[in-house]
Amino acid sequence: MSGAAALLEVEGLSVGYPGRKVIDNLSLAPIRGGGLTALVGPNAAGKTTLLRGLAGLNRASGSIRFGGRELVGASAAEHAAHVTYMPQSLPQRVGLTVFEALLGALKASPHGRASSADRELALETLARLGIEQLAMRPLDELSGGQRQMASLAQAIARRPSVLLLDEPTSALDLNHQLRVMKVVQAIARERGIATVLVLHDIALACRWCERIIVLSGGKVFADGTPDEAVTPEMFAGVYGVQARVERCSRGYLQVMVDDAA
Amino acid sequence: MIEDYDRLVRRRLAILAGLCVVLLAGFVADLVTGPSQLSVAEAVRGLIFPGELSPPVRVIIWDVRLPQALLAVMVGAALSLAGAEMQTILNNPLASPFTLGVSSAASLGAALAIVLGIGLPGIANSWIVSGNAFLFAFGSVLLLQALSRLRGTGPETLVLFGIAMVFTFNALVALIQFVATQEALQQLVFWSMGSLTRGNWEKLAVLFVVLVLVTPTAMWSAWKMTALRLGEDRARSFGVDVTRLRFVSLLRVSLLAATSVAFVGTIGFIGLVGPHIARLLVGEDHRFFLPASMAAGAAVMSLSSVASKVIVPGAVMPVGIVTALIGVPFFVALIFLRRERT
Repeated sequence: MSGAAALLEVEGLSVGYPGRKVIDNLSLAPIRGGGLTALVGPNAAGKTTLLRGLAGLNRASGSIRFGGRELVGASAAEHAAHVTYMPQSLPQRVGLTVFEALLGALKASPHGRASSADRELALETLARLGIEQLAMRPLDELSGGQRQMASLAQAIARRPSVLLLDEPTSALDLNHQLRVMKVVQAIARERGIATVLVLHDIALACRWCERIIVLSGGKVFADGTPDEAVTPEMFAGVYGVQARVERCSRGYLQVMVDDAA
Repeated sequence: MIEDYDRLVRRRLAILAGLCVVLLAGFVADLVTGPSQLSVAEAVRGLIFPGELSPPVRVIIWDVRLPQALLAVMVGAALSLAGAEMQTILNNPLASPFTLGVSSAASLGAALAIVLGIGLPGIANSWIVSGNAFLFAFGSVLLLQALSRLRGTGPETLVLFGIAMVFTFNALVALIQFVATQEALQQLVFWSMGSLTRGNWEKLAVLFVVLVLVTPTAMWSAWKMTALRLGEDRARSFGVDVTRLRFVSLLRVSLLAATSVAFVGTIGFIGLVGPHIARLLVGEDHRFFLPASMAAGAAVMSLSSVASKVIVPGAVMPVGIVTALIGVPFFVALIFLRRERT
């Protein structure tokens, strides 16, 4: 891990859309760099809105501080210097190769790196994700899973201090889910990145994330380690289902949903 | 792998060079085609050593053919660059100055000047139609611009608004046509067909200055526009001020489209077809896509100009008719070609 990683602090944050507040006055314990934090919750709980607020994509009020720097009201360039957001999917019908798209991600904002350094960085990122063979393939010819990997490469290549991933595993098969979570965890640890992921698969969140924040109706329902946050009471209160949470032979939490609550 | 990328870049540069060769061929063909036949050698010699030409040939080359051929190149490049930028910033492959009302607005401006004699005070009579057309075309893009600044207005709304403008302006032009005298009506119909015969050195100079001012700033935004193709949220997260990018880009589009349409009238499909040819050939890395769009648009316009002179022997058809006639089947073929590839 790279030294003492900075903290992402959220205080009294409100985020929404014109005429509609989705997140209202939400505060979180500081999110530390180097670990993965999962945002979970039912549909319309405000997970993506919170992530977009943290990314500076939706108008927000309150305070988001990173490394002591206030990000609410900061310009797109200031935000991008620290935070990178990965939306759920790449758009269709884009006439770029994976490598060109990656260079576009690196060169979109001025950063003073030489062109050759950008190319090396792009190459290194693809190798790190194990998708260097896709480099010259057009984005339009990729499968859903490959597109998601290409999208993740764009986010990681920018070397952010805060990485916000919106359902990074939604289009992936089990093998690719494992690969993505492993590589994201390893990179977050190495570079001290504060990583927040929206996940629907709670077992995946329990397996890979050190902290789970459960959102419901725009409010924090539970926040803590998987053991603290993922409980039968949480499933009943947030998802309206009866569920058992048990530890498997390898010590990971497993969730079994039995019925509606 | 870097070598693979370098090879791809070289291939794209070669395609760009190929497009420029086609453009040059189209330009020369445009110079030599017309009622009085000139050989290529004569035309080229006439360009380099104008003093050696007989007065009638000098007039044909320097006062008629060259201004029109250059106007075809510049209008093609300008409309195609405008279309390429519009398609990127509005995230819509159907966006172009023609489909989003800029040409219709110019027609309305021209109609007011031709039929009702309404124009800007202080403008010379010879410029009143062009001046009005420019003002209305520029105004229509500014109107799109103003709408894009409204909160919560996405690119889809802008496209719909553009289409609404097409219908509104066309209806107003029809209304003016309804009250027009026969002579004014004829003049207006001819204007709206789009013609390169209105080219002169003054108009060329204005269009040249616009292109020289606008092209470098567009190229300067090439990486930002490339990132925007990856989605607005993603581009913003990469530090692109998308609102500003759209604003400045629409400003460029308004200058390019308004100046072109004001000088030659309605030219359909160039702003649509040019970018699509470029996209098919070099992809959407905007460092190649923008210049390739300009070259493709200019080449198609030059070839259309040649076609306008040879389709009906002895007569020059308005080039706007030819671009539409060639453009539509060409466009349909492109769509099918693309569908086969995907």
